[in-house]
Amino acid sequence: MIRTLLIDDEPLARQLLRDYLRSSPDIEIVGECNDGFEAMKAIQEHKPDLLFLDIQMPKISGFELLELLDEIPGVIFTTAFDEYALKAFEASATDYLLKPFSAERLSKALDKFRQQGKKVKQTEELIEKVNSDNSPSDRIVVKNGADIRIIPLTEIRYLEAYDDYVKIFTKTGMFLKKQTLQHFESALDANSFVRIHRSILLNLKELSRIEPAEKDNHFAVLADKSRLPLSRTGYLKLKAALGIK
Amino acid sequence: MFNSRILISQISPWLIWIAAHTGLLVQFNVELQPAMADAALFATLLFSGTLSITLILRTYRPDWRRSFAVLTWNGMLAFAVAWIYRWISTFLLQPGTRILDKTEHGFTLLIVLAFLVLTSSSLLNWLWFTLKEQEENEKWKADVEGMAREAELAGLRQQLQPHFLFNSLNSISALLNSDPAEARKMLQLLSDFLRGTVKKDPNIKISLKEELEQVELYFKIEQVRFGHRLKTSISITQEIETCTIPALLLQPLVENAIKFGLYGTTGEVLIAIIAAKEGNLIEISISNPYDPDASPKRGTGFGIRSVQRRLYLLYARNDLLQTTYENGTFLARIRVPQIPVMTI
Repeated sequence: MIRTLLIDDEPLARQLLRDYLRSSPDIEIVGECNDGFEAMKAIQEHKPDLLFLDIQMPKISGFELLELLDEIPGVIFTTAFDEYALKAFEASATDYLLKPFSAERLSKALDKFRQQGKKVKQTEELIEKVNSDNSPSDRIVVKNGADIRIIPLTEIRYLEAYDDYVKIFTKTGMFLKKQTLQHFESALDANSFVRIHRSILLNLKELSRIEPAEKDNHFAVLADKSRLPLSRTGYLKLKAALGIK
Repeated sequence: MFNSRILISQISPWLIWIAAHTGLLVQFNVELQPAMADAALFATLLFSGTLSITLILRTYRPDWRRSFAVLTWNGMLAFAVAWIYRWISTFLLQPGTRILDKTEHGFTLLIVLAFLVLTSSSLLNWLWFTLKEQEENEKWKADVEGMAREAELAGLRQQLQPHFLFNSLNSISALLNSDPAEARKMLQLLSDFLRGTVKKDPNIKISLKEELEQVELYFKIEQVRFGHRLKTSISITQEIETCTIPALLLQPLVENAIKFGLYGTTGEVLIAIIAAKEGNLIEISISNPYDPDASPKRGTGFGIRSVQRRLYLLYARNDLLQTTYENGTFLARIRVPQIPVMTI
């Protein structure tokens, strides 16, 4: 049996999926979700094999949801119209259904899933591609257990690399996200976030001054008086970003 | 074509010129007939000279840096006119009856006189044609701007989101199996709504009642899709139902309210529209719940900007749309003047 979760904010859209899936005896629908938050809980609870996932949803988008999962199940996207995402779909092996879609088109997508099984790698590539194609996002979505947090970029003080994770320091606390610092450096606006050290990406707004340390080293002093080390190239980058010669 | 107005304006000074010339000769005790003949001969030659200048300037208008060439040309022409006059008059007129014979340096004087006349004629012609060309340019520019404005208005009005259309079709597909009657109702709503958006000319104003009926169709469709959580209210006093507003002006604002109020939240939402009269304006306010953290991140503000722009193009005012956000509610307040709108 393929344990399947339906995620769409429209009841009728889910109903259509149910109707269509009835003719596929190997599909077991383990749950239905209205939004990304519900979906997060349901995925942790049911550990489904396959998601039918809408992209535009309240709170967090389908892509943002996938970013939060430790282990990504098979995904068939359902969407009405999403220019930028469609390009990404076409470049990837993950299947997608354009609403309204036919029962035949759905069973084709299912056949593909049955043959290929989980396409985790492709899905991760897809997310990466969508993120890089998209204009700079104005927020980062993180989770702690089943708890999802949306962090506006303006709340971020700095980001620090931490093994396979990035520590996100905000005004209200620290959050972990499975991601590389490299990714954030290229995804975030270079005029606001500067790589001041191999492992630190600083929000320029938080900088209050640059202080010399022993030898040629410098510290960045933040608004709350905390200090971050500056690497030699980081020091140069920071000066360039501030327009100091 | 050579305009008859130009011809008259060219000829009448010459009649005065001939009269003055004749009068002068009569003063010198020349009889009227030979005096007129002398005047007519000189004037005709000079007239031919100015005519040739007019014809040239009509097609070729040198900029002022080339004015020296024109002056040289005028000088040569003046000399030719005086010389031809002297040559012809020797055969036609009695010696002593010509204006040429009445002063000491008659020939030189005539050249100078002809030169001055030709030059002022050149100047007048140049000014006249330049003005005319400018006028034509202005008219052309106004035409182009008018067309651009119309195209822009049409573009701003084309707000129908493919997202909305395809999702509605998907709902119909779902209903066909479970509730065919509801599917038919939805299809009808969608058709009426689409007809309302395609048939309307953005330059035409419609009654507020008609505009709000279109909005209501839109709400009803969204209620089929999200009926469990979308509540709407439209309140309008009867006296302003017949007031007019530009067609589909409210649509982008209502779509915005749905996008952020309904798509952006999970609970039950209320989208409220209130229309009231305020002096010479009708004021329409649209409110929706708004959660800044959870809203879709793309496409923010385009609807608002397009309405702002359209109001500016129609009324040349930037203060007719205001938006505020307070305590989880987003409010768009639009004011539509009830004065005659400039038509385009």
